[in-house]
Amino acid sequence: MVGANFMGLFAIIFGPLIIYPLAGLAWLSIRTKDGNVSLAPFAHFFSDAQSIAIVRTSLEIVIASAGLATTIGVILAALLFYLPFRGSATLVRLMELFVAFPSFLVAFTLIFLYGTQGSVNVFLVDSLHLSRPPIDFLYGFGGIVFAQMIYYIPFVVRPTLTALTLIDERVVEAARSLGASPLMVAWRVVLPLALPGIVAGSILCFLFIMNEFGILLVLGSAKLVTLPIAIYSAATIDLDLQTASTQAVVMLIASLSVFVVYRRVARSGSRSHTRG
Amino acid sequence: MVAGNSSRAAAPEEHELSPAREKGIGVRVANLTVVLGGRVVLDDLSVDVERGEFVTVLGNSGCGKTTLLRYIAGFVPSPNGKVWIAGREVTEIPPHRRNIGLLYQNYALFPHMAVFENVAFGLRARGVPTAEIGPKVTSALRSVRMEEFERYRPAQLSGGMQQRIALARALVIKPEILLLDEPVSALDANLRAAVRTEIKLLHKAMPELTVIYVTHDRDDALMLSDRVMLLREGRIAQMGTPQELYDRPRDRFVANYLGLSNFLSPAAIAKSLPGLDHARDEKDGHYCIRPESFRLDGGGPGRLAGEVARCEWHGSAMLLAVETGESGAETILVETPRRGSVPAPGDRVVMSFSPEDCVFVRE
Repeated sequence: MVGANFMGLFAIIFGPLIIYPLAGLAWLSIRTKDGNVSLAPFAHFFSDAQSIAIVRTSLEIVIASAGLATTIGVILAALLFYLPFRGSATLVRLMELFVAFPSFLVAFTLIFLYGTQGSVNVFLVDSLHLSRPPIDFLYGFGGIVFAQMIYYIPFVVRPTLTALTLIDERVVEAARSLGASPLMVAWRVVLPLALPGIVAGSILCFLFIMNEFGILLVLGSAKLVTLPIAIYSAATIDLDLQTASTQAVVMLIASLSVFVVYRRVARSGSRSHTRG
Repeated sequence: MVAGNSSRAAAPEEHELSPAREKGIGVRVANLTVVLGGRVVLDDLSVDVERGEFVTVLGNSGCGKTTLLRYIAGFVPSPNGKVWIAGREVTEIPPHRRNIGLLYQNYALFPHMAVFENVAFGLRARGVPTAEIGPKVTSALRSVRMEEFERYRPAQLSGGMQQRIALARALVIKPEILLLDEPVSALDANLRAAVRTEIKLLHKAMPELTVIYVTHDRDDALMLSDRVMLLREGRIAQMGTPQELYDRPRDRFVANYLGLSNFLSPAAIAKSLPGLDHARDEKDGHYCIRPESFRLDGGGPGRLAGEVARCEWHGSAMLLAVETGESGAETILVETPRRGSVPAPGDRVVMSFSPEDCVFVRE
């Protein structure tokens, strides 16, 4: 009975907030202009050269940013864990604080440093007597990937550190006592045991970058259109709600799929630790 | 055989290796001081263990026994300590090149590998050809009767089985020394006895293998060891055969650690056993008499009378607490076999003992 009441309360609160708008969005995406219900908008989306280009741009940016953030994040976490230095704990805490900032702040920080009028460029122009600012990568693929990588590294460092902390120190020592070199210990023992945590962190990072909006808006929306940007401009600039909702549903399904994968990996990771 | 904190036992030159003795050294630790987090965990400790010897490092938690083991394995740094394994100095050699076997209380098996891969790990690390790995692993698993479980994951096996796998994994690489850190403490009592016996038999089968066994459990120490090293606050309280430690404890701590004891003042002993060396002063120490050394049949020259206050049932024997009213020997614990009539609380008994059962121990 309590469960039923709770479900009722849940429906009353979340119905208008989430379920109704989502249902509306889905309805909008399958209703054609002449009032029929059809999957044609989706067929159009997946055959249209422009939308395929948008998907490709999105994927390229996500894979590059998430790949780099994961690689550097894992290396950074391993260094912080195995070669701690004075102040490394503070560094980790600062990195966690970083997560609390809005992502577009990172884009602004980068403009402040490396933009055409940024301090690094101004310094280089002044000291080397250049005619043009030498650093010019921000407004484009490189800049977006760089900013997203910087912002999302902490999202990989934290779960990787947790995964490394959860590994039983005695297991690592046992491996060394058996004659394994540090490289063999890292490859055969530490990495396999930390992998579920690392993969979970990188999938989460992938998911967040897929949905990233602020950094793109600041650094590259003019040249590089990703799916969130396309939805935004279709809805607010072109006022084409039909296209926007179709794109949004595609986006939603993609995000949910990535999230399902994340849950599976995270669960298998926690299970392997409790059993080990 | 040198054992002791070098401040009172040995001059430094005694730790120089002479070629003649080199062959007989299983493990030698010299002048080992370890400070962890500002606390002195081991204080200038030196010890020699002969090749093939089974030495138990006994002590309470925090006494430094596990740190000593981890130092020998190469996981704990020391500013001044030196360590030799099988006559070779390994102080500067990293753990993976020390050729040691290591066994932990929590087994520390690789949870992501099957039993076979766990045991094969050390062989692969040593670059043993793949063709030889299979037979070696199988024979190691057979020696601990686990050959049927090759394909299981550690989590699918019981604690006793996991510990046997860990033993096979440690021994398959033919280590010079086997280091065991409370290997049976996580097991229940019956299983503990079984694994203990297994370790004893394994050591018999490998007489060349030096074993260092860390434990807080005096039964482990008394049953398994050739010699026991009792540690207290980072120093050796006493080292010797189990019998020496039990029968001739150096001080009250050692006497208490190895078993129940009665401590009688020299004056009380003088009164109940005329003729024993009475020159001792109470400030120097007490006479230690084990509960099982007292007899209730009047068989020894020493005599103490009293009233039974409590009886404790210990299965094979009874433990009596006897109030004597004598100063310096107020309550005496007596262990008596169940043969014949057993005294009940309130009974008056006469306890006799022999001079050879009285050991003078320092405080």
